[in-house]
Amino acid sequence: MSQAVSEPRTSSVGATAAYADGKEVLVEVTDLKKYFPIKSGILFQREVAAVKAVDGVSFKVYKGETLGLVGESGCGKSTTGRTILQLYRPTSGSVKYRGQEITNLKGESLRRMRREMQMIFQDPYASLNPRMSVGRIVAEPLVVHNIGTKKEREERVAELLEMVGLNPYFVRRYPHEFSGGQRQRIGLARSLALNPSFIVADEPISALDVSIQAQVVNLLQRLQEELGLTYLFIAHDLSMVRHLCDRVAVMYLGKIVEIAESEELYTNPLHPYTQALLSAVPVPDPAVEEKRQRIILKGDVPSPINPPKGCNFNTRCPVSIDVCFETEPELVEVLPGHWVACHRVI
Amino acid sequence: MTATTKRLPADQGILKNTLNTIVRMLGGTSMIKFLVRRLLAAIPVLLAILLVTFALIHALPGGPFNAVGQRRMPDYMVEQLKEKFGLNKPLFFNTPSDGYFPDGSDWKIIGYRNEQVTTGGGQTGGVRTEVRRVLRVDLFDSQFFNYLWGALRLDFGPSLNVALRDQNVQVGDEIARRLPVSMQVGIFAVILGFALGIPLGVLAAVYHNTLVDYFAMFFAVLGQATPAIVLAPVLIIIFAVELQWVPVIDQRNQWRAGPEFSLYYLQILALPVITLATGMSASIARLTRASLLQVLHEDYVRTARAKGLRERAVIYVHALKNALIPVATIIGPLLAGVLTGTFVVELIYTIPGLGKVFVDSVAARDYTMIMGVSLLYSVFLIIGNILVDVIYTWLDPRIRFD
Amino acid sequence: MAVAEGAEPLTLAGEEKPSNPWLDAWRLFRRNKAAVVALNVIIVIFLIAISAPLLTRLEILDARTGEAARHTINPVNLPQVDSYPDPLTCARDGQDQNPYWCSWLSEEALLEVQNKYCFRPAPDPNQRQWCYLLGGDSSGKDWLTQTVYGAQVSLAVGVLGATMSLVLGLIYGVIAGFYGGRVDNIMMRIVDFMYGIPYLVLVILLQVFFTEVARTYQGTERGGLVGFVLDLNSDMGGLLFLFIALGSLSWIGMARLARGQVLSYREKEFVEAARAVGASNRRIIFVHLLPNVIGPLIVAETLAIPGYIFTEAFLSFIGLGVQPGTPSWGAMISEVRTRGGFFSNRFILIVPSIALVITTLSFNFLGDGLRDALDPRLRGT
Ligand SMILES: Nc1ncnc2c1ncn2[C@@H]1O[C@H](COP(=O)(O)OP(=O)(O)OP(=O)(O)O)[C@@H](O)[C@H]1O
Ligand code: SF4
Ligand SMILES: [Mg+2]
Repeated sequence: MSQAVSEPRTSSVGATAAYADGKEVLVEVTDLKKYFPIKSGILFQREVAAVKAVDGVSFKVYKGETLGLVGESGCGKSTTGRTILQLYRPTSGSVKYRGQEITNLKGESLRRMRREMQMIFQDPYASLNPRMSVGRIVAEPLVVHNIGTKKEREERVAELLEMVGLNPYFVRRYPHEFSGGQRQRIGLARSLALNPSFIVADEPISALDVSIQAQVVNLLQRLQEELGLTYLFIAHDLSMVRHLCDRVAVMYLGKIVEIAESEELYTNPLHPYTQALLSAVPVPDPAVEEKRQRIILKGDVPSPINPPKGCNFNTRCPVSIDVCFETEPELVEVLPGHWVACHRVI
Repeated sequence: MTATTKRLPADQGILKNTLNTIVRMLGGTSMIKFLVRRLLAAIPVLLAILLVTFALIHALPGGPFNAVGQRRMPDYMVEQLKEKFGLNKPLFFNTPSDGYFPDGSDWKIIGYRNEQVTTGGGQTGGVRTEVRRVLRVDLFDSQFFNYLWGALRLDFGPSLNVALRDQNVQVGDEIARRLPVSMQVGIFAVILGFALGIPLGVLAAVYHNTLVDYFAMFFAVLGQATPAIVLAPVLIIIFAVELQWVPVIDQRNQWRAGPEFSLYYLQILALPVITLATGMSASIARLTRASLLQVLHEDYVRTARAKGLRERAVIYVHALKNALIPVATIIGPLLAGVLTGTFVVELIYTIPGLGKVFVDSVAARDYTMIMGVSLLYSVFLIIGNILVDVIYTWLDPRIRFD
Repeated sequence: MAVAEGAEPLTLAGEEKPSNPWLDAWRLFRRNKAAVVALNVIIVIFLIAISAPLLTRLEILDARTGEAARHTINPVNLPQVDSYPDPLTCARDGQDQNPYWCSWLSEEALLEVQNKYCFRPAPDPNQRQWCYLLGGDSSGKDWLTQTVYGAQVSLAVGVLGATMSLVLGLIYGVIAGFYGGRVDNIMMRIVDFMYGIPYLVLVILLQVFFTEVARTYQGTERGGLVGFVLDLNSDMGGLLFLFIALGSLSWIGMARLARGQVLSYREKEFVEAARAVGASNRRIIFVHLLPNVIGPLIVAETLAIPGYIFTEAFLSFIGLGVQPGTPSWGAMISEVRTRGGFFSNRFILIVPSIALVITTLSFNFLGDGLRDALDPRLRGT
């Protein structure tokens, strides 16, 4: 890899010297915000508040890596993924793909960009149109982008199905005839049709049986090797991403609270929230498991409509101090490549 | 759902507590907000309906004094009548160019003028005439806005129908006389519809897939598919002509305003009510059956079935309660059905209710009466629609209004 | 290696039968016997309706002479008779050589029937006779002919009315649901407004308006669009205006349903996936939303058809439906009533009544079958 594309460390968020060296930044997200308006009114509705689903998120994704994005349900992971792909237009902030700003793309240029970035969805039952045959589903990206003749498309579909481990014979079938794992493979074939380099996988395995989860994870890893893919892998529980991801970002209530390389995060979690999450993960080593102390978080996640002042974790944090209720902690690099947003960790 | 729960000292809190209780009974503050919002939203709707109706009836050829089928009057009489009832005024806006000057003097946008008001007369004898100074907005001294001002004061003007205008019958009074007649038919029909429909549906569900079920459902489907104009003649032929249990429909039937339980009254009420109730009971029966079947398939009922009879009976009652919830939602469409249904039935049986009045006044171009009846129907419909939403939330607390 | 993780069994449940959602729906539909019968009945009624000119003749026959009196029907100008021609009564055929309803009767049987039932003994027994198979009305119109033509009116009102309201409601609802936001807000406020308008009141006002306008311009030459519409309406026997009046409000329920459906599908992940791939709004609407949304709408519209038929019959019954003289079941029942037929000839009442009930019954059953097949939410109800 060429040295020229590497970023100067000082300005990079969430990267280690060792890790980032020589790596090309594929996607760079800076201060991304996505607010959903809440409307109400007697006759005509006006905006009265906003759900701050994503509230100032910054990170980089390096080419060829898998970045995990972890957090509780409703913390804004999916919204982050969708906003990066411009399925939601961001309220503010920037998303750069290979250095090009994509939040302001429209029309044809946006369509061209979509060939580069794709998404895999959580619910294998909702992500395939029940009224379309598998062949049409997988060929849809090709049709939309007007690629190839009908014959060529058919060949490509067969190739894609084979690639994800499905029998090409199934093209005339309809989604309801397939199991969850098979459907997830069909969805994967669809997202690979355009040869993308970046894939947002939004909890692709959490709706599947445990036995099938491993198969899909293996498939994802194999495809990454074969096709040189880059993943943003969204999950709601840390144990799932441990051996799949190179780095992991932990999200809470619309913000990233900690980013580190996988091993580092697991062995040395610094943010109280990450610690609490990890304390709930069983450890295979019996000796460690014995000593494991569970940190149980009290209370509920506050509403993203009006997050608490200061650190937004302060309502549940076991170690909060006065300043936590006043000022919001910045995401800072406390160890090489290990970024944390907490007043107690400096 | 944030009704204040803080306890106040008993002496000053009683009023507040009762108020809170009422609010909570209605379904909490969000329900109140919802009701207020819907009622406020109904105002522009009613205005628009008035406007549309007004425009439509004035677009009809002919007028109240020269409607088709009426004796032709000399022109000067028509002019006099028009002036008497204010029909010589412009339709919507009285602009100077319309040539109509209220005082015969100057056209003003805003001004005062003296108006002579005569009250009394008739049987009371004493006639009083007084002069009032009233604010005039000449621009709005038009037929539509005069009607609107009147309607806001619940004064819907005199009927223009040839038979009624000479006796100075007010639209409001006429409606008040006819509405109860329609209401009786409608309400009795709803009662009969539920009284027939629910047992039929329960029978069909309990004896699911047996002859009882098939028979019940056959009749229900047939009832749904038989329009009133088919059912009514059949009923008349059977019960009035052949069996002579009830009097044959007749213009001379004495329809009363109040419910009356004389034999004669029940006799003339019977056929219209049955006609209207048949379709209702049919849909109620089908709905009851479907919803009860669904409940009966749920696990707790199945296990209870295996147990003793006592428990079984209890469960059936319980299941029925749950099954009736979706049935209650039919009240919405039913309200609309009563509205249009009485319309149809009244015309078939020549019952002097609102529907009959409406059709007659359309033929007679009785503008004020048409407006009044349309407005009343709209109000019913809007209230009905709101009621439906309220019932839905009561039955299904998951639905919220925010 | 390539399929190592594909260890999951690749067999499917019903390997042999090809399956696709529409085919499945058709299979489900076929399982409902009543619905299949109903569909066939509707097809038969439809065939009868479109071949009415072949089966019958619309000219009114003078009940006394049996001659075709006029082509267009204006009862006022026709000789009135005291009572209805009974079923199987015959009237004399004039010059017309077309075999008519009696053609299946043998020469002797015909003579016998004539001698027994005819209004007036035929002056010349060798002349072919008109036969009122189901009787006739007071102005000498053959009841069977009217019933058959009445099917045209009822089916046209039911099917075309439903189609029109489906299309209007679908377009409106899909636009509102898909674009959402301000567009949706304004469009739904309009629908809310229309929900407050009493249906029959508006329909009656509109029908009175249309009939009056048509009457006013009758006979006068009118060019332009107005003239064209009036001519078209009169050619259709008043059906055009009836469609407009019936359709004026009926689409709003459909619009609400369509919008709700679109809203529930718009957020589905497969729509998101299409968007992620770069599909245009048009493609998303036509390829992804419409095929999913349309099932429940078709069901609702089929179940609404009896309502349209009822309303037409009722309007014709009170004289505000089709133009006078256009045969319609409602008008026929009304005719029987106004001439005191409840007392004299009941048989004549039964004919249009049964026709009405069979038609609406069939549409009800058809709708139920379609619901089982197309609207999985409501299966079993
Ligand atoms: N289209 C939308 N309109 C309004 N609010 C939304 C929308 N999408 C998401 N939200 C809100 O934004 C917040 C974040 O939602 P998001 O789906 O991103 O969470 P998530 O982390 O993916 O959760 P999960 O693990 O359940 O998928 C939630 O509070 C959600 O209610
Ligand atoms: S900043 Fe304060 S409240 Fe937030 S995580 Fe750190 S210690 Fe807890
Ligand atoms: Mg999510």
